[in-house]
Amino acid sequence: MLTGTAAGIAIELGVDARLIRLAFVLLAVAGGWGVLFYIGFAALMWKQPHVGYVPVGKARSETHRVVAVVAVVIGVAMLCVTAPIGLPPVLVLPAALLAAGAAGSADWSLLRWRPSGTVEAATASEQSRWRLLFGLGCVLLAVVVALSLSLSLTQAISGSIVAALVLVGAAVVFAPMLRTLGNDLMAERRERIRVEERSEMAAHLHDSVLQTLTLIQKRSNDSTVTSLARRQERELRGWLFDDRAIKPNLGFRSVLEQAMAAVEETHNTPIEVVVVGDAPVTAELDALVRAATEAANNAARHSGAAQVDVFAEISDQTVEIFVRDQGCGFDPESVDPDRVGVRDSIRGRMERLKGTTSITTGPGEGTEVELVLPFVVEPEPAR
Amino acid sequence: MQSSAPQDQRNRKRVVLVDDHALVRAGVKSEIGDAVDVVGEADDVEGAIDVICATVPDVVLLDVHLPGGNGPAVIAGVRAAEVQTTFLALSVSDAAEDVIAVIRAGARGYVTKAIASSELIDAITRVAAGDAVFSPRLAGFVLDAFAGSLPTDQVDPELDLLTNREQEVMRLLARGYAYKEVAKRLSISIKTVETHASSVLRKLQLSNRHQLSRWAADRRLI
Repeated sequence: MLTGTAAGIAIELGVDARLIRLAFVLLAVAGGWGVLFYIGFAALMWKQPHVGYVPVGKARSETHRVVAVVAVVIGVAMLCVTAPIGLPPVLVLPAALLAAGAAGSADWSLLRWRPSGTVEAATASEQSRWRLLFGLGCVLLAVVVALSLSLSLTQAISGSIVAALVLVGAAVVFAPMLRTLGNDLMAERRERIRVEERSEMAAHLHDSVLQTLTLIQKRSNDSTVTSLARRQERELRGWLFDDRAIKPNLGFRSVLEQAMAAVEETHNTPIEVVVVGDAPVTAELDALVRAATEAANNAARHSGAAQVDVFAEISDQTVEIFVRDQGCGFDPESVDPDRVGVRDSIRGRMERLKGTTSITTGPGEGTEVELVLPFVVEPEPAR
Repeated sequence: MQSSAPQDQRNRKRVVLVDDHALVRAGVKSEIGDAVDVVGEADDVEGAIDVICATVPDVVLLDVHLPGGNGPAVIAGVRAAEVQTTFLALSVSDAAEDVIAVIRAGARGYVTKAIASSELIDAITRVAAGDAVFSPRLAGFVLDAFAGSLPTDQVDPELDLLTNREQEVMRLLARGYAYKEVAKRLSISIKTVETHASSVLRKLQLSNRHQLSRWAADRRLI
């Protein structure tokens, strides 16, 4: 009733709290050990002063746990020795020491499930090392006590040496395993730190360098400076927003963006690329990108437009790419037959892919090249 | 860069610039200063809310990334103060989830800082008039966000799906068409194009389509 301990045990065991209290009182009267039990359980459960009871397994401080375990173990041991059952001390004392050692040294929380990624929390700390030493000490002591109670002192000492050797042997056997585990945990921690640092740097670059590069492009009248800034911006942007820096295998989106970046650089004409959807690159998609690149090259080279817009969309049935400029346009009837670019690189390529090409243009109307490829793709999940 | 026609003094829009880079603010101001009145500037979330509440501008040009909480925090703060104004997101950021976040917070459009001066002025005029402003990139983000099918029992057709017409409009905008070119291409009036665009913006803001959030999470920069 003082701490709600009895009630707590009752809840945990599903019996009437009054029974538990009665048991405590009886034990206390019989040999005084009930008091120890009570203290032990109280420490085990003590957490919230007003509620008193915290279900076993919930957060509890280390000290409370140790106090609790030691108290309960001593209580049980004393009860066994003094009770009329008459268990010989030769069994009880070593058993109690073993229990205390196990309780003190083992990090029981290790046995509980924890999400991956927090493994590092379980790595050997200074504290757990001391706990382990304490546990080993208890075990060794238990052996010595057990032997000395039943045998002569010299026999006990030699037996203890054997026991110590066994412990050392076990340590040698398990050391490499523990070592490997420790290394894995370190590697994981290092990797996470690396990713965090990269994210932080990315955020910083985004807020500072990217802004400046954009500004340079807008404010500079020198085309070399502008194109340099644009190229740097694009590379930085690719690094910031793409997994490219981490995952080298490129999807359709990245391949198209890179191809257009190359065109942009060659002709010093900004190309705005918008891609909807993504897919792994096949031979067909690669050829499609080449055709689109040729169209963008033409637009940048001949149209005189200030900008070229490229839009690509991957749906379940088709891949479409539109390359559009608002430049001078041309009369499709009067195209110089020598211009093999359109005929071979675009139309021919699309025919071989069983796709279609349509070109919408006219003098002064700008040009739009539309490439459609029938295509069955499993859309990449969540892309 | 051709400047748009000089506007009547009374019709000049009052604009507040919110960007944490003084250089960028100066640059934007010099570009649009002839056509609009820049009545205030701010470089962080708190300052932005104060300036906007004090000046009540027609349009706020809002950087997506700001110290102290980013664009959506500014919009939320101004809304909480019950000040009526219109937000146009202006950013170098191409990260889809940042752009979508600021639109969902209430911005009426998104343009990149690389936009030509004349187009920026045009965009300011249009959001001030209540229109939605879609850059090709935003149109692409929208198509991506609404792509893919959902189990029918999870779909609210009013909010979670684009109509065929809206998809057509978004595709043309993503291809770089201006509103009037979209109208010509689809043989509809510019007003109808604007209606479709506003409707898409509303869906983007209100849809709880789980695809939208999952998609955003998958593209998280950090």
